[in-house]
Amino acid sequence: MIGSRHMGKAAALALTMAALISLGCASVQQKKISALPISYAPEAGPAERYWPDPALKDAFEEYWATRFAGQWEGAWKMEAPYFQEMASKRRYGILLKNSDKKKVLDIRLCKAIDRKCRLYEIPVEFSFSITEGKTEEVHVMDRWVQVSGKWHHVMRDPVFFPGL
Amino acid sequence: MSYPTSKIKRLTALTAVALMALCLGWGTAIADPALIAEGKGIRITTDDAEMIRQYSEIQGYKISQKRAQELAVRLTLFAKEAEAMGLTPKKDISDPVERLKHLANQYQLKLLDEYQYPAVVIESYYWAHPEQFRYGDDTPKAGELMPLDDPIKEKIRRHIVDWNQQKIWDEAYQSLLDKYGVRILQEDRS
Repeated sequence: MIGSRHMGKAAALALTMAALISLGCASVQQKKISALPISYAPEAGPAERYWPDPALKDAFEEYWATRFAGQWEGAWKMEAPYFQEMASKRRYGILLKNSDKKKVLDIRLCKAIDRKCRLYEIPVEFSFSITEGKTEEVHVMDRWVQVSGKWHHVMRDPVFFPGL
Repeated sequence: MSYPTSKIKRLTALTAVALMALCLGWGTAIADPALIAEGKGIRITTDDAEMIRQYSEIQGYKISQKRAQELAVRLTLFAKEAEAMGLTPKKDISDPVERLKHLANQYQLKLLDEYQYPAVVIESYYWAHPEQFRYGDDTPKAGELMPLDDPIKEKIRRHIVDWNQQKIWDEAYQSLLDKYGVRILQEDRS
């Protein structure tokens, strides 16, 4: 018969292993986030002068890495506060749930548009690998707004979120 | 001429069955209406739901018994809260459903009028939609961004509130169920 002390040790060991596994997962996630294949179009100017605020660069990378990791709830938390109030979270999940199905080859940033009013618009060309040898390009105007010092993503999708 | 005994027996049995059926039907008809929901100072029965169903039918739209029951609970709670807030119905309303509706409506409007969002919600809307807040071409400040002053803040708040009105009312309904400790006792699936 196994004694309660042994049981306790086994439970502690299991908990430690679970913690180590989750830490491992977190570091894999971290790798994914830092490994976004970002490039800058020639007209965008030098990469080191592209971002008006280093915090915007961090937010951009975190947001898209989260989306491409299929973690739409994480992306939802980075959307602008008004959007989180007005949009349906369920619908957002449906829109983003397959974001991790495509392999991102390149995220090309074009010349950004500074609206001089805390709204920053970044034209982005995404290249995805669809099947062997086939790629797909998607052009997106990625918008970011700064409120109380924090950058939030601005989702505008007239099909999924008309009027927002 | 006399009836055969078997025929008399059959007739007696049939009459008894008919009488029993009549009594049962009458008994059901006069039974107390079933309770749909109850809570602190709240008691909603199938009669209340039936009144709402009939009222809707007179207004030209048919609703199911289930929908009538849901409405009975919702309207009663909203009306009760309206009264708790000191809102009063128009004096000339005599129809009980009209009165309930009017009070509930007043509560719903007050909710929308007073609903507040955190400042970041209003500000993020403003900064994300500068095109909506620029001075018109016929003004001296054409193209410039209007300041985020109180009237603009109220305009944005109202826009978000109107967009979310159903959500706001549903949230209010849920919190009133808690506030009045309402238990939904019966759900008609028809």
